[in-house]
Amino acid sequence: MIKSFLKWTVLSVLAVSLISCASTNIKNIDEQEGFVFYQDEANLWKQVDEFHAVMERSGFVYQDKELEEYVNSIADKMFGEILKKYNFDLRVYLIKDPIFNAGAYPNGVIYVNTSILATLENEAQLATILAHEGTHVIHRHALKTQNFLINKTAFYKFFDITMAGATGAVRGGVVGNSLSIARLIGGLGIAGAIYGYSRVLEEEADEYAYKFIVDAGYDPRESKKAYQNISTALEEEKIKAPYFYSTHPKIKQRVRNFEQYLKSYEKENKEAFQKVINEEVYMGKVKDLILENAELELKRNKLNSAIAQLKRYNRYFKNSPESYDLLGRIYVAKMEFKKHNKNKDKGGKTDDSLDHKQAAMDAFGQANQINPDYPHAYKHLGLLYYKKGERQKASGLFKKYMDLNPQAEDGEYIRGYIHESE
Amino acid sequence: MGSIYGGISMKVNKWIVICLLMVFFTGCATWKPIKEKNALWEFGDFRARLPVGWARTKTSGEILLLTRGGVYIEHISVSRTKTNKELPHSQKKITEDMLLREISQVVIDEISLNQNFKNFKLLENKPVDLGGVGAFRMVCVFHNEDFAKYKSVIYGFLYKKKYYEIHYQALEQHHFEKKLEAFDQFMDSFFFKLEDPESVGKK
Repeated sequence: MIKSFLKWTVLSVLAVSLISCASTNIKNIDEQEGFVFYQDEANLWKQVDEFHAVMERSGFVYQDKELEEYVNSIADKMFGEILKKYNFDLRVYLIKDPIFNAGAYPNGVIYVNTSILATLENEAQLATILAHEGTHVIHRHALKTQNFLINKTAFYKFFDITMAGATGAVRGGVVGNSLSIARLIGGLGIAGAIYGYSRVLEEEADEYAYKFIVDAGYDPRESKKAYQNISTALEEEKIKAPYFYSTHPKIKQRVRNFEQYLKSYEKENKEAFQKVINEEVYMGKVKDLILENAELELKRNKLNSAIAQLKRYNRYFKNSPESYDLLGRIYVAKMEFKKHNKNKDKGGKTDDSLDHKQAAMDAFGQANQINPDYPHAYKHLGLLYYKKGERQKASGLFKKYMDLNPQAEDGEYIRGYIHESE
Repeated sequence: MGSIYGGISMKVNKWIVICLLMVFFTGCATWKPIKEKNALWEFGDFRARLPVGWARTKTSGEILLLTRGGVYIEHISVSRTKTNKELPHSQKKITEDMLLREISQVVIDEISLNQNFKNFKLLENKPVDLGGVGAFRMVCVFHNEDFAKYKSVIYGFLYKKKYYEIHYQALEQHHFEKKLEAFDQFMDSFFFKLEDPESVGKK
């Protein structure tokens, strides 16, 4: 009796494992003979394709064809050969988002948020992020994560079914349950792209990224700096977001990993590095993006990070009234933030000893000095005076703004302030 | 036999039913049709005439919610929030010392950072006088999660340490223009029972 029970139990276990277990022996794309889908991989792609279709229509994809091509050409330098050989496509899209994140999806779509590009300093640093994300794709990390979770769930499901049988319970909707579990797991597989994969897979992505960067001729010393820049911005902003690139310990780990790779590489390769950094080219390409991202960061109250980006922008492109005007508005926002959050400082390190009102006035003044016909700095300076109660000064500046910009979208507000000031 | 258990089970069942009924009645909005012409809505210092043929309710987020064909087709809502409260997307606060233009900017930031509002576009933003109280009037379009296109008119103002928003939102195609007249009439009839009109923000 006991023997027969054991026999049936073993058989059930085997049956369940054979039916439910997903393959763990998944080859990387560059280990296959041409690209072939694994079981369930097509489904994963379908989910991501649907998600991407929504993203493309959402208005959140950053539209700058030249920059997009440039970013994709960097990915191509590292992955082009593999992609061609294995007939696979990789495409990088930029997302208008002030939160640090980037993500790679199994269908070869890589999203990089504008905040990352605005924080990095050169092409070699961007190559680091793309190499890390590209490795997730080439090594099929989403599928591996999905199958790992399916197997884990299959184990629990076996007990679930057995227990149901043992208690004689009638359980309906097993198919429905499996479907929803599969869907959930598919979602979790893809979620890795946003929230990060397991530690092992992330380290693998770092290790291979390093090889891709070196092989493409980029200076690997910049890799560590890429993550250091993100880490510094996270520290200054005290950002709390669940995404991989917004999680400080995970970014710190990347810094440590790249430090280690660099040390061992330097030991093995006595000759000098190839030193492709391409700082000027990079800055030229992301010029507009930095301003637009700083505007987004101002909207999101990510003020220290926006200040750092604009200061770097101003070092490169000295004659931009837009940049100084934006910097002034960010200082005004800092001033307001401090006023209304006495016990909570929004990031401490950079400018808190500064008189933000004075810094704002200086920045607006600088914008007017660069271009006396740039209207917005007059308005913003006017608003500062208006709120201070210096209505006459404000009125003069508002009038100047309206003279230079008679069709101003906010004209009705400004005319109202002029009227009240007189 | 089993009467003790049966008794407990009956009592438990009764309480479960009562709890479920309470959740049902408190959790679901009950809609009241507006049949009378010139029906008056009163809330604190606010008064307005309700549009005939619409239905009204109150939710946890809104002090008044009106619709004719269903909230996803069109609705008018009046809501209020405390000032000095951090908003979820922009992480900014609406404070009492803000100019109307600044408040409207925070509202724009909040919407444009919310990924549920896809392809958000601001069409108009201007100051208006709302029965003696300074307000902003904003018109915008956006797509929802299913890419249905909506058009919204938003009035926002500060009143007695709270931020109020009156919102008309409808599917842009076919519905927005059709029901706009009802909203305009609602807004034309909107007034404050002001003790001292000068004391409330006209910035």
